[in-house]
Amino acid sequence: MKGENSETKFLGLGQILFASFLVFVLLAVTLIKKVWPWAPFDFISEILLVALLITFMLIVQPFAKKFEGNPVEALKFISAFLFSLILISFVFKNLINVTRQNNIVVPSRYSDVVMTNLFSVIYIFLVAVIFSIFMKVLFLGRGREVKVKFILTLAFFAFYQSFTDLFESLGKMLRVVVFEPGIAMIIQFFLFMWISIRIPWVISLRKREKYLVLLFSSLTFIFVIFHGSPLITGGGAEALRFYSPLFFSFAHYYFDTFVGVYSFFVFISTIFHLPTTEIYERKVAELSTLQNIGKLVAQMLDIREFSETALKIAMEMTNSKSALIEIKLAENEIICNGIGTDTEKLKEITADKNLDEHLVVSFEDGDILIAPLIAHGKTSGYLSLMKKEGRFDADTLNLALAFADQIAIGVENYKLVMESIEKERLLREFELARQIQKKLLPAVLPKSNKFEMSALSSPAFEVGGDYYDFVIHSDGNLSFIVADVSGKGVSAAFYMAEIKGIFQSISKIYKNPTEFLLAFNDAVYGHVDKKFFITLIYAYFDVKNGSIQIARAGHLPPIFVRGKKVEFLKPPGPGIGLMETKMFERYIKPVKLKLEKDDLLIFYSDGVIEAMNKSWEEFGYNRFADFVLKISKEETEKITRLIFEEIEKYREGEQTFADDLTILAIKWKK
Amino acid sequence: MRKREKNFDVLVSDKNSIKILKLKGYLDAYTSLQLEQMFRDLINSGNFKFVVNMKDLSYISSAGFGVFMAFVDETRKNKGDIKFSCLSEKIDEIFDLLGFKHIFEVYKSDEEAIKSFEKVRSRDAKKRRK
Repeated sequence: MKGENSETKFLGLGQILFASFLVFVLLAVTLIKKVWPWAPFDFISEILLVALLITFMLIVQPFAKKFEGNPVEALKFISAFLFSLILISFVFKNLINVTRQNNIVVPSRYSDVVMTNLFSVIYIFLVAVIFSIFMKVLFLGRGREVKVKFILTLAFFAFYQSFTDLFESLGKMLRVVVFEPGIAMIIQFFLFMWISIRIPWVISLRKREKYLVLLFSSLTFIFVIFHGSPLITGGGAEALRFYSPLFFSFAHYYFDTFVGVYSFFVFISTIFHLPTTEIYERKVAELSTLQNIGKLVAQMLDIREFSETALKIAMEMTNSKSALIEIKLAENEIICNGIGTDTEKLKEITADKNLDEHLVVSFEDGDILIAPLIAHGKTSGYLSLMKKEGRFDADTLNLALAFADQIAIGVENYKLVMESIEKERLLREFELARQIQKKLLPAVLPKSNKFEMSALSSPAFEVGGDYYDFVIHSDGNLSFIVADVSGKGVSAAFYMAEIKGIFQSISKIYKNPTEFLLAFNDAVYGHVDKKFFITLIYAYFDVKNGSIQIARAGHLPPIFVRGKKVEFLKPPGPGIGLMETKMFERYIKPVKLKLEKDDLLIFYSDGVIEAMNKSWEEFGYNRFADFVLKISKEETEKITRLIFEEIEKYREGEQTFADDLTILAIKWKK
Repeated sequence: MRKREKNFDVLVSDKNSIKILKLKGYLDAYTSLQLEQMFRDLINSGNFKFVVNMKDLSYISSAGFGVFMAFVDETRKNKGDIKFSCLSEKIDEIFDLLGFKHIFEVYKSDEEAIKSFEKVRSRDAKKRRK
């Protein structure tokens, strides 16, 4: 880094030394030329001059670089330097005396030659500066195309300059005009027009900048005209021609014309683009709004921050003095945020408004715009903007309304995100409830040589309400229960836990089914949500005597198979929790069975009967009874499994609405 | 086909200040929320006499029954009731199994159900005259 720096410095110093050397040589040459005007001297001085001009341009490059991408400043400096160029020419015009010598104008005295040198060097330096800056403007925003064109104009100038004399002498010899200088000028002129026709940087200027460009380009144009006029330059120009005819041509035919044509085109182009400035600025504003909306999206998870950013953008976009936003997230959750001194007033005006469309309220020196935030046909709040000392024009209004739509979509998205977070949380809770539910069911069932007992429970898609359990009494007899809680979901799981508690405690006290059900109803009725009730089967199984008492409380009737006979046991009894125990008592009538060998009892939940196939038919009692009869000879373990498989088969893979399924089978073996 | 049946819909009509709710489709744990809200709104706006027509109801789950349980006490406290009409064979069976007929009056048609309300009303009127 440091080395590079010193290198450029060294290079700059070298260039200056080289330029000074050239200046001195040129001074010597002009002095000699004054005494001895020999043609080859002219040639030498031209070469030296080209070298000097190039060196000067290299020296001023770091300065010119500052104007890269800054055409307004560049034009300002160009016009300023042009002015100083004119000033210097004007000053030196009177300092240099010239005389005519054999059709060639030469400085009168040696002091004039020195003056000429001084003047020319300053002149060349200034031209180098201006031309360097000018090139920066010319190349701005354009690609290779402009460089090619630029080289073409330069090449044409060089070609024309080199061969002017040749053409002239050729023309004299043949007595015809081979190459009219005027035509060359016109071609050169058209080349400049061709290169200047496209000025891309004008479009993107702001209004103020455009006015500045208009000023500076017109100044530049006028200065260039002045500069070409003999009135201003007079003797100076003649001296310059003496110093170097080539540079004289370059300055007057190439440089002046080029800068003049270009500045003229800049002027015209700027004027043409003036009316579109506001459109352009609006586009830029819209673009920055888009970026801001991007920022909005990033703040999606914090609705307060979101509303604040939205307010700031809305104010910036519409140039409003105060802004208020109200976002309704839920019935009782309204986010209200305001910026500016008049938010209270906005609040007042917005309050109690139920708008489907925007509303503009005008007062003495301003407007208030209330835009509803509507997404998917739902109004989720309001954006109110207040303009003081100004009104909402159609464009601003549209912009504000479009932005209100963006906010509405943002709010809608925020709600969706929150919902899905909530959903995720609920899903986890469901999973937890399912785990609890699983643990509420007995892990193992009682085993005996007198009976077989098997159970199978397949939970529904979510949390179901099926429950079964048993209690072994001290005398070895069994109580068991198959129950279904109304409803689904987490609440069902909790009610199940409650049932387990009730069952485990009261079944030990009230073995008698009627007593058990009454106690159960007492525990449930009036103590839980009204819409909640339980259907259940309670059985007291006297293992010693081989008898079973079954009480049904609203539940599906258990199936009883004896030999080839299959029967649904429907002892009367309403569901638990539907009515007062006093009333409930009247309807319960348990059934008592004396069991014989191979008697089969199956308790089940509604998932069995209500299982549906694709054509929307329920599995039903008949199909169930027939199937059970068919497999009644099997062991209970196999029976429960076969029933489950049969139901699965019947559903034909239709799982979407599958209810939970519980099957409990008991077979008497003694 | 399936989708349509899974839908649940309620048609509300009015007769002599009695709301007749014609249930249609599938009343399960999810659609019952809709019915619950409807009952809540109707009761809040002062309706206490309901006839629930179940002719086109293809399925009712325990949660569906829960809705009627939730509101029956409130209607009765306000001299109203929830009565049922036109039960399909299947739903009638479920009513039986659950013991719902011990709690609710069930009629063969809307007219009968409405008439039963009117009887109560004329009886009340007579009482008042006495």
